[in-house]
Amino acid sequence: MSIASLPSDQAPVFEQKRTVNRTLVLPILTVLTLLGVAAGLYFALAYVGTDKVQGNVQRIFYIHMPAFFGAFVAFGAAVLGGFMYLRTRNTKWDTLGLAGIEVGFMLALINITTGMIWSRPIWNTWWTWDPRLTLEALMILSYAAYFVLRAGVENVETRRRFAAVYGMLAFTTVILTLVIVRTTAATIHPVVVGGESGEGAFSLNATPGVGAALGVNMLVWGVLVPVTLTWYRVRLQNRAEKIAAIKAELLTK
Amino acid sequence: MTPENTAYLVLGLAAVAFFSVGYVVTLIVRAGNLRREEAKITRYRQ
Repeated sequence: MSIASLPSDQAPVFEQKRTVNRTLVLPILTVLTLLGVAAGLYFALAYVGTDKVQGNVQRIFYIHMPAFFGAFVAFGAAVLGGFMYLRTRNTKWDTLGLAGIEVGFMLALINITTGMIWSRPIWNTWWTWDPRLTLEALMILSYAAYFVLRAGVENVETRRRFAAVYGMLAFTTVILTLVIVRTTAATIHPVVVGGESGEGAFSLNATPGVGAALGVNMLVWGVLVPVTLTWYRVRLQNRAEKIAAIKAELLTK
Repeated sequence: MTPENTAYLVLGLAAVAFFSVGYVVTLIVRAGNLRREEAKITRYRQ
C-alpha cells in the first residue's frame, strides 16, 4: 500500500508534517500580506514626509510604482506558465498562466488609475498620449484580449495552447512599457529609478525616508500581493477544473 | 508653496481599494459558487 492511499491518521509522521506545513503556507502568506499592506500604508501616509512641490498626492506614488512591478511579476509568472505548458502539456502550468494574467491585470489597472489620479493635479490633465502612458494602455488592452481569446476558443486543448502563446507574446508590451522612458526623450513621465545615473543603472534617486517607504511597498505590492492572490486564483481554478472533470464524467455515463 | 491636493490622494487610495478588494471579493464569490456546484453534484451522485 502506498503512502498516498493510507488514511491520514495512519500516514507516517513525516508525511503528516509535510501536509500540515503545506496547508499552513497560504494562511501565513495571507496574514503577512495583510500586515504588509497595513505597514505599506503607514510608511506611505505617515512615515515619509510630504513632497514640498507636489503635496500629499505624491504619496500615491508609493503604491502606483510597486503595483506596476507586481503586475510585472504576475505577467512574468504567466510567461513561465505558458512556456512550461507548451513544453510539458501539464494543465497546472496553464492554470498558473491564467492566474498570473488575472492578478497582473488587476495590478496594472491599479497602476494606470492611480497614475491618472496623480496626473490631474500635477500635469493638469487626467490623460495625455505620452509614449509611456500609451504603451501602458496598449499593455492593458493586450491582456484584456487574453480573456476574450480564452473565452472564445471552444476546444480545451487549443484554448490552452493559444493562451500559452498569447500570454508569452503579450509580455513584450510589459517590457516596452518598462523601458520606454529610458529609450525616448519625448516623454514627460518621471524616471524615478535610474533617472540620472544613465540607462540601465537602476540607482534609486531618493532620500532615506522615500527609499524606505518605496522599499516596503515594493515588497508588499511587488511580491506579497501578486504571489498570494495568484496562489488563491490557482486554487480556485484547480477546483473549477475538478468540478468540470466530474461533470464530464457524469455526462458520458 | 506646497499645493493642497489631499482629495486626490484619497481618490487614489479609494481606487486601490476598489480594484484590490473588488478582486478579492470576486475570488470569494467564485469559490462560493464552486462550493455550491460541488455540493449539487455530490447530492446528484448519491
